[in-house]
Amino acid sequence: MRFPFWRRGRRNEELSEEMRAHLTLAEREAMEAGQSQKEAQHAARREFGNVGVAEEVTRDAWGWRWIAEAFEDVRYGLRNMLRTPGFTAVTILTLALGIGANTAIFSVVNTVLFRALPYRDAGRLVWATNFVPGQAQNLVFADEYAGYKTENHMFENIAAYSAVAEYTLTGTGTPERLRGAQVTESFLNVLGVTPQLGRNFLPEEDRPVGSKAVLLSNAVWRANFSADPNVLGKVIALDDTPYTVVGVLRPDFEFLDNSPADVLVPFQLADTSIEYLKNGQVRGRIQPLSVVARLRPGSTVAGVVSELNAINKRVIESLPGNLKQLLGEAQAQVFLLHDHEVGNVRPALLVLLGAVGFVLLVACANVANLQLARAAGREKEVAIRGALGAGRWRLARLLLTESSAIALAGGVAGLMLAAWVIGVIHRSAPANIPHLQGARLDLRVLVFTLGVSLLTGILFGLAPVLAAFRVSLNNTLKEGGSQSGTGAGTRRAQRVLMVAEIALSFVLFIGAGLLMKSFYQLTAIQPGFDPYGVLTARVALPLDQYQSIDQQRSFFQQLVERLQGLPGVASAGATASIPLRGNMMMISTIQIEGQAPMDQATMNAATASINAVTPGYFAALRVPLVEGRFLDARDGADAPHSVVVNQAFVRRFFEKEDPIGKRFNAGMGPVTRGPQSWTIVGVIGDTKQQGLASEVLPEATASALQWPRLMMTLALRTSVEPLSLVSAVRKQVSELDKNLPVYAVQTMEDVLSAEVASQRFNAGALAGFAGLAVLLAGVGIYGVMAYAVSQGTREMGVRIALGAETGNVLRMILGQGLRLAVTGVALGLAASFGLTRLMSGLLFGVKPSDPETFVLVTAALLVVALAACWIPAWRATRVDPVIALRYE
Amino acid sequence: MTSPKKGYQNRTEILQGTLDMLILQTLQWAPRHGYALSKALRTNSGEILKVDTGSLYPALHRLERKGWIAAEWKASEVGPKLRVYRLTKSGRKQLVSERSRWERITMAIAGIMNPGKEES
Repeated sequence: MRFPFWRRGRRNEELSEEMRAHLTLAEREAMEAGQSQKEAQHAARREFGNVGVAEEVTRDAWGWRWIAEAFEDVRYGLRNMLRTPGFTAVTILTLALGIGANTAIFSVVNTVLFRALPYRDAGRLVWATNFVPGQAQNLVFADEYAGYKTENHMFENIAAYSAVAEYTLTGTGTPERLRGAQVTESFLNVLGVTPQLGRNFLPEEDRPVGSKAVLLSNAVWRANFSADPNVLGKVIALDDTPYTVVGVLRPDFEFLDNSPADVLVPFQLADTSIEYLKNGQVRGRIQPLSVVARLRPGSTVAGVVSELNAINKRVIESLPGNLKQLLGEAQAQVFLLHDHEVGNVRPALLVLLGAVGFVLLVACANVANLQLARAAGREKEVAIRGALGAGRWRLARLLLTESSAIALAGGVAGLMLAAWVIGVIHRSAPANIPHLQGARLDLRVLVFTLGVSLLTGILFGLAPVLAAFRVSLNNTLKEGGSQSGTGAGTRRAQRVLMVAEIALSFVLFIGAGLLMKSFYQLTAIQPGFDPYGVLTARVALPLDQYQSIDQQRSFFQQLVERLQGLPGVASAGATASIPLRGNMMMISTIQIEGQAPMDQATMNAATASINAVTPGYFAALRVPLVEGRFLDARDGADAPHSVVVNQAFVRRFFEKEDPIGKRFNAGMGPVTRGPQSWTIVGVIGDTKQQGLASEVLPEATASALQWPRLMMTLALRTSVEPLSLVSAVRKQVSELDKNLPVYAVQTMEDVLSAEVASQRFNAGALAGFAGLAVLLAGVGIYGVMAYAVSQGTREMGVRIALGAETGNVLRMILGQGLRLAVTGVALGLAASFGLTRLMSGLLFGVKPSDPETFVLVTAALLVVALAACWIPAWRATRVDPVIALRYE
Repeated sequence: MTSPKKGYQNRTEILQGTLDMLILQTLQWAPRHGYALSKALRTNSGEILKVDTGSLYPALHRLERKGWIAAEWKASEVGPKLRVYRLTKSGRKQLVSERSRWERITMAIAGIMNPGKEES
């Protein structure tokens, strides 16, 4: 019969009873042989031996011993921890910092990188685009998509979408601006997603002139239709066009590109972008679209690339000449959808994960050092245990149990720390990291933390274990007094750990330094205007009600006049494209009058962005004038068509000539409704349209009075707090047209801040980790040196007694510390040269081997190391030789 | 620490293995309690083998755990309740294999100790 562990109490009783019976029988026999009871008892006992030992080894036969011992070890460990509360607190705090930082970053990585996309069998979804070298951008257009759809062999299903659409929803209370996406009817099928209510689009709704249908996101359904299930079949007004609601998406539906979509409408894509005009001319209306597809089982990304390239080649061959020039040599780029969605944040997160791993290693090294120092004091205890018969593994288990208990305590504290850090991340992280708000302590993170804690326990627990293995029982027991001292091995281990700490901190410090420098490089870039004290907001006119150019012109003219009159507004303007918020300008080919026609082969280079602004815009953003004049009241609707151009335009098209007064034609391109010939009246400074880090493209800016636009961004330079004017702006707009929403309201300062947010986050996070590591390393160096000095008290005493100068002693100890620090820095240098290359993608304006950063960090770390050595060294000089020599 | 997964580890230790074999052999004819077993071992070996109780009881419990012997509490006419061990079926099998192993070893040892006899 086997006794389970929990019944071992009963088993033990039986065992005692069995032993007692044995003794009784032996006694009885001895008495029968004529001995007295007392003699018999003694004889039986003698013969039997140690009852306790017999019982214990018999119990061992049942294999419970290790469990009992584990309990003992834990109890012992806890007792030990409580006996030295200061030491325990420092250890647990150190570990908590390391483990907490790791848990927090892992929870982010877990949510962002390891998260499964919420689509069916998402591993087979790919995202495809074409890189067009001449345009220096990614672009797929309808002809290519039509080719993919009919000719591919690799896809089970394919869909196209475009997420740039915005719609004004009216008729449900205040007008609202919704972010929409045009999708082909196959879109939801490719993703393997079904609506919560209603149905997907029908094929006939996705034809070029099909009926207008719409799918609502769950959020819009709840917010604007009070979650009414009868919304199906209802006709709603988007941009004053009636759309029939055919379905409602699920709450967990996620659109692609990490961008929200409030409504989905059928793409109604034609098979070609080419229009053949009556006059024989060919016109292309290129609408860039994105492609998402589901791979057939067995298809590979590489196979898809070559197939799409073959289709591209055929499609582009069939295009008319100038389009062929513009779009030629399209190179297919295909990514797994997961990579596409998280690809741009992966390097940063992996660098952060690596960095916190380093922090944990530093923490481990530190704790291992503390443990070693303590283990030295416990050598005696270990030796006695060994002498009493504890096996080596038994001792190792004891020490490892103890360190694991400490590590787990550190893990629990670390979890609490992580919960707090995750809160901070939620508040401070840049918006460009998708799904970050979902970062939390879930089961996977808890398992990670548990694993890290246990691993940590083993890692820092190993050092004292190895030291214990080397303990020679005889020597330790023979050595008298409390000054048994540390063995050479332990001291060497401490030095190795210290060097490792310095090297790891150095690498982190370098990484942080490079990122901080990138951040400052980025913030040092002049955006080309004054972003402080500017309010921006968007207004888009529905084409149905503002069909004529006069209507469009007069609306914005009136609006800007009204805004200009508001108290607190210094100057008001409107622009088709505002800096730093994505280039919304039209791109057109440019033909300068009087210059040789652009060579067909180089035509790609002869393009410029065309903006349209109301005259007040320049003052509102304080764009500098370089030459000539700004656009103003002289450039009214009926005046000659004038533009100002930026300096990049001048550099591109007028190498030596004075651009003022020159004329150019905006040739082929979507500038279809604007007049064709423009006179340059001024040159303005370059402004960063796409982003601070982007290159400034040639731009020509026309007056919105001469080239009115439907959607414009308002820019108000205010003499008061910009956001205090928001309701006044809304009021002015609704007085002109109560159905127009004012949206995308932001101060320019916030735009600028969001622009550098991810750099700031990376730099801040890594700086935090590096600071933590340097702090830990500093404390570690201090601990090791202080301990070494205290161990060497007698040596100091002798030296001082023999006449060593204070300076000599100081120099000696500092020299010891410095040697270790230099070794650590050298190793760190070597490692950094290799490792910083991995983060080159995160850097801006800094080389991974930036000498300035390397020199500064080296100096800083040496100073920290010296400072950490200074105090113990200084203390060593205070040693009173009499006391030191009497110490033993 | 004996782990059931590692099998019968004591095989390599002749003494330990021998004790187990002797216990099984002694229990072959009749169930016995611990004290009777120790007495039987001593008597049957002509007082040469004196089994230490510190070895006997661990061996008994180990064999019980292997399932080669089974134990049962029995009231005795003379006093304390006694734990009586008997050989199980698998114990019988084990005895056979232990025995043949033992014979092989003793023959081998005999061969080394008395080389002349082998040749003749």
